[in-house]
Amino acid sequence: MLTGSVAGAAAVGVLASQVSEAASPSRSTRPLPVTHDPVLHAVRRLTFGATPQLVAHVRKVGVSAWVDEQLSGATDVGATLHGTGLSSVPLPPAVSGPVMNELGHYGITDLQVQTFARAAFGDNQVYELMVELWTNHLSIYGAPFPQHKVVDDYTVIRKHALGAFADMLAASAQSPAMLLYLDQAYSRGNNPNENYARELLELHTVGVKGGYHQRDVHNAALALTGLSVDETTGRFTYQASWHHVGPVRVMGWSHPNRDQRNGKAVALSLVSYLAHHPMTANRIATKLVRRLVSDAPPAGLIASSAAVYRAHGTQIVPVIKHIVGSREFQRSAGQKSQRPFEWFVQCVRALGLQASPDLTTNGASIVYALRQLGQAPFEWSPPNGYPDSTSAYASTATMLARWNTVQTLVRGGYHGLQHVDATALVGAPVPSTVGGLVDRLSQVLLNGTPRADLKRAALTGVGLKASHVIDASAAHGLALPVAALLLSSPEALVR
Amino acid sequence: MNPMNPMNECEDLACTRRRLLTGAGVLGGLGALELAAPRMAFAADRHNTDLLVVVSLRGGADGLSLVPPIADHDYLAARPDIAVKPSQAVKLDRHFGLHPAFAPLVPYWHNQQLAVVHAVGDSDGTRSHFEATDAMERGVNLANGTQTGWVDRLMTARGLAAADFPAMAIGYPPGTLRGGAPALALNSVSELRVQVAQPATHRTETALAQMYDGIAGPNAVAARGTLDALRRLAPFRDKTYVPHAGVSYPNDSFGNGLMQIAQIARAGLGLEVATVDATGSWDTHEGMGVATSGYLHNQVSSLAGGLAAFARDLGPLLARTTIVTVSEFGRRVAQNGSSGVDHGHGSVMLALGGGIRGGRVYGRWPGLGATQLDNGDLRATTDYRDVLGELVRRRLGGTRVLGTVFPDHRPHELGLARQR
Repeated sequence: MLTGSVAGAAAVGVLASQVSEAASPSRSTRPLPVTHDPVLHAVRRLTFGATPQLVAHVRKVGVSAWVDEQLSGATDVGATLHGTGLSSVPLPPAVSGPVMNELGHYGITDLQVQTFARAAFGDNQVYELMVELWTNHLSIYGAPFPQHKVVDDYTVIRKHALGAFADMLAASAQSPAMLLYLDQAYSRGNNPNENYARELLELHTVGVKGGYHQRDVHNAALALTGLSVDETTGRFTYQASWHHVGPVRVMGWSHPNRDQRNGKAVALSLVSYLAHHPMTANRIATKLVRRLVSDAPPAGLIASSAAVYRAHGTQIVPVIKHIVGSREFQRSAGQKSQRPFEWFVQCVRALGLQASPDLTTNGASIVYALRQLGQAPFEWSPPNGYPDSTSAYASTATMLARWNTVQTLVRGGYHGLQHVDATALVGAPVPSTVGGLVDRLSQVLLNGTPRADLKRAALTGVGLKASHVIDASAAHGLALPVAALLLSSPEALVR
Repeated sequence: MNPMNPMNECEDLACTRRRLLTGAGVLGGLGALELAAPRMAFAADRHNTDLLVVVSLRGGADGLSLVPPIADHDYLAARPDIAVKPSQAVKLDRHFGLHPAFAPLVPYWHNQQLAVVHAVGDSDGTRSHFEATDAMERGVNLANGTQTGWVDRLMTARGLAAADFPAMAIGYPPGTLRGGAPALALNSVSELRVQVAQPATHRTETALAQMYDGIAGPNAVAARGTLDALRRLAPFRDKTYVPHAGVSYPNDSFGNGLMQIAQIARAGLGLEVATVDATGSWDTHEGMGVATSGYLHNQVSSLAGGLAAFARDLGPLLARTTIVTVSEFGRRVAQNGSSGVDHGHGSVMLALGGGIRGGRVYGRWPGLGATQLDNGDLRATTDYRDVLGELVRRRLGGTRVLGTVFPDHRPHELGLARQR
């Protein structure tokens, strides 16, 4: 398979303003004020949206206990979901026969909607966050082989998202979706295809500066020959007759590799070597610190996290706990932004939207919204996964898509989601002025009182003064446009 | 060396090594998107420079298929199943042909507005998509930590920060534009609107402006740029764009992107730079097809059809437009076991425009014999910055900006562009 196009990603334009505007001649700017409330900070960073209920829960039990709670036994890959009419999103059945027969009805849209549903309505928020991270670390453009990506989702990513990276990588090296996506399935010893071998080194493990050369890539490709996909069943197979025989050497790993019958073990030995490599530890640590702490991950925390990764045999949970417990984490409020997928899910959660019973069968418009926003799951076509930085999504096209998406969201324009319950959103007692309503909604949606300029903006948006007196019916009517404005704000982008 | 060495007799190129100005100082993050009042001013040097359109062929385009060395027996021998055969190619000269799917562009070759540079690439020779793309978009060697893109530095050096609408990007992030110079990314002009009920449109846009006013950071910069673009492009978004008579863009992301660029360029808003990605991926590891059909054939058809429509749609504007294609690397000479080609080094670049001395293949052919290859790949005997540098010097800003645009490469003269 060709390694995908940028066409999927091309649905969004990204703006090139990635250098500070400090030198701006026309006016001065200042950073958005952010709260350093440790509970709110932790919940924002570790979930897909800090609802008032969740924040209250974490305040009660404490951040550390909540994180432990999230990281223990949270590997329920089916995930219990909240929401009327939708108690759970069933996983596809374990495949015993031909994949295409058993999962033929699955399209990539189904998996995209399920991914959204689990992020929005699942209890295991940290788990879902890690699923998202590993999905992009071992990124696969899903459209050409949706059934295989479904299998990959639950046998590679979800199965190991809080387990050991070495296990996840070994599963990935035997995942038909990956082997097809990066052309490994067709690679034969007499004429190997280097695509998977290169990305295994460059993206999945040691990284481009990991210290390997073209001969290592070529040797890795030779060592991996035989890892393939059975054309009849669509399942992983080891094709012994395609395996290269003879000594192979990749960085510090080597193998005499004398017997085709033993080739799968040779390949997995290489994969395991790479998973445990210090440069891989560094790369995984960097990725986690970037995800959880800052777009500019602190070097000291990367180093200590990498040490934890190595000391725990590539186990992921100890690394997460180390990072979340660090001073760097606690001091990092304001250093991450909500990327489009996170932001969309956050809006759904903040507005208290419930899933409709038809979400999993009729959720295509949600996927369309995510595509407009530039971050529909499994649609990043190159193998390096969606970027994790503010600037990658700070574009005209994405910003406009955010503003328009939230307007559609409050209007109830997406199938699979119920309409906003304005009465529940505003709560009781109903504020008696427009200013009071803006304050109330800011608490619910943004977890704090509005900045003066934001409040003024919200009032401008509805064309009313703060002191304007409203009854309950007017308050509930105004709640939707005010909510859309607040969720369009810079505050709503703080992660 | 290949005895045929048919590419343009490089004597006149190799000899004129230009003296380079060394870096002209600090590149400022000048006024990112803090766009001035919505006037339709042209940049100060508007009439001295071309509109630059950078087309990215992402994934590593196989130069040996795009412009096959049809007289090279090593080429045909290395690719028994996938070579573009001499009988299939559009003959360019005694050594090179064009992939047959380039047919729509052949008239521009004949009227000497389309040039090819072959065996071109970076000096680092990395076979990583991400490393090669990153360094090439920054326009520097891998080891150079400069974070800005070469087009951004070009714009900054030309003082375009104060212009209203100097740059636009179609599609996914152009690293070439990373930096402080203002640029607008959009998918389509017609989509530039905030979708609220009509009476609330103005109020909503005002509210958004108020909440992002005075806030630092990339998101706020993007928000203000978006609002500014909404205001300035409002007169265009409701009109259906009508290309010049008879012009039909391919219905794909590349064709649609080029049409947006043509609309803005023809509107006279002062557009100086546009970037766009060719449709799809050029990463043909597997099943690339043959000259007359299949994956790569469709890729080239889209590229050629889009460029031909764009050139025709620009009409007289083509005389002061420079279009250039870039790709991070070429591909392995020998086909692999999946009827594809793995990552390689040397590739091709195309240059199209009124100021191009077209109808010629530029560069120095290194040959494809076993001893002539670079780890199994076509050598890059011409640095991609030789091509871009010449376009900058002759068409896009002149010698004075060259040192800041390409600080660690001294471009060799190719002779492919006329001095404006």
